[in-house]
Amino acid sequence: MQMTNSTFEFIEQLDCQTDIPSLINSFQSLIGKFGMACFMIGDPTRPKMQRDDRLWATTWPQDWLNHWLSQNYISVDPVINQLLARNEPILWRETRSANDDTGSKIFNEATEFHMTDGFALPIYSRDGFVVGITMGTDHYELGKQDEACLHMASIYFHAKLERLRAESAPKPRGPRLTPRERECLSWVAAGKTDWEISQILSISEQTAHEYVQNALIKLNATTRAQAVAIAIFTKQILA
Amino acid sequence: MVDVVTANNRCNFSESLEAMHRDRKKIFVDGLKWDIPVVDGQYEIDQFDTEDAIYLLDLDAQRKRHLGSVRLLPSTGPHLLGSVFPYLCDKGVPVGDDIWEITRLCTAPAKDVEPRPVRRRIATALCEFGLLYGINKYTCVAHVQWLSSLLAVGWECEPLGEPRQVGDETIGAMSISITPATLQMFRNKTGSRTPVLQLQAIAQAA
Repeated sequence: MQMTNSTFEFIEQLDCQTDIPSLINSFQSLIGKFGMACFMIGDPTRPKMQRDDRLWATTWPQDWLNHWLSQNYISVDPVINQLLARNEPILWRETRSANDDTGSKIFNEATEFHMTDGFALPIYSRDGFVVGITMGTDHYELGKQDEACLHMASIYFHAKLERLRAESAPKPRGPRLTPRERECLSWVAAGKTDWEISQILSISEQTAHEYVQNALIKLNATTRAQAVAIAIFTKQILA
Repeated sequence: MVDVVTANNRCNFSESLEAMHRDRKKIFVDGLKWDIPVVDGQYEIDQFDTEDAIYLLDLDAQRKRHLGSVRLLPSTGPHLLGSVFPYLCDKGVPVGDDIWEITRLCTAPAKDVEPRPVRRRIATALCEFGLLYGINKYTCVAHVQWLSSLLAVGWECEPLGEPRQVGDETIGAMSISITPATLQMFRNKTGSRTPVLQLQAIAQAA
């Protein structure tokens, strides 16, 4: 009953939310009451051409996020794959398979960040792309009824997030990267070194290094992983 | 255009109503596999299709063919939420003259019927009908997945209780507020400033 009340409070207070960060905080605090540590929301099936419309937000631990992005887990994460394939709410544990080496590796690594299980569900966006939301925890104790509440709250969260995004849409925020800087940073996101980038793009290692460093300075990032995260958040490179 | 069909003008729409019941059978029984009564093997008609039910029918230009429809029931009489799913409302089933229930919202499953414009006309018609009849709130029972579409379109939905698992599905009850702003929003989407409801039909319906 406690969680039900919290869910209804969350939905009632949505009208007062005027910016995306406080909306995310509010949702994070709600899922915390359900025992969830953090979440990620996104629409990975939206084609790359429409990247400016891509939805993505997360409260995952920074180190795990950096690792997850740098390993390009988005395309192999069993939870995301199963969610898109089955199109219904799933538990993380249901996606574990002994035959899936990459999946097992991701599960083992996530354990180090106190995520052993979780809940993921699909939401339909207005233009037909599936939005996925996944939440992790180290002690999953939700019953069917709690899951239904969390499902409803997630739908309201997504609708409000989309509304706030639409309101704040066309203004590009933060410093913009040049096409070359974006290209190099995309390869950093794919786990490539300066030397590897130089080989891929047929430029010198020094030049590749400079493009990446410039991107770090522009984005006010201290590490490459941070620059990648900021560039994805500001939609300058693809997740 | 959307016609308002009540007990008083039903005789003028018998063909379209028949088509509606046939389409409802195709959609809810054959498609969604709902466990609801079928009459003569081809019509979906249940205990709420009574004299009290009002239908909004979206018909073609000849006012014959059924393109889409919705059934409205006053909350003061027997209706789905009150009679079948009262446990979906945590604080009791909302009842009042200004509260009506939406059920059996559908678009014709024919290949040559584009569902989106039909849905828009019915949404606009629901707003117009609500404002004309003094309805402040519609209630409905819906699959929880469907809620995201309602919110995305812009309906002001308020959950009436926790969603619950019924069979394989998670369903919930909600209320939808109707204000002049809601109508304005749908009219802006369609770019139309004129009513979609057949006003002549309303006079006969009353």
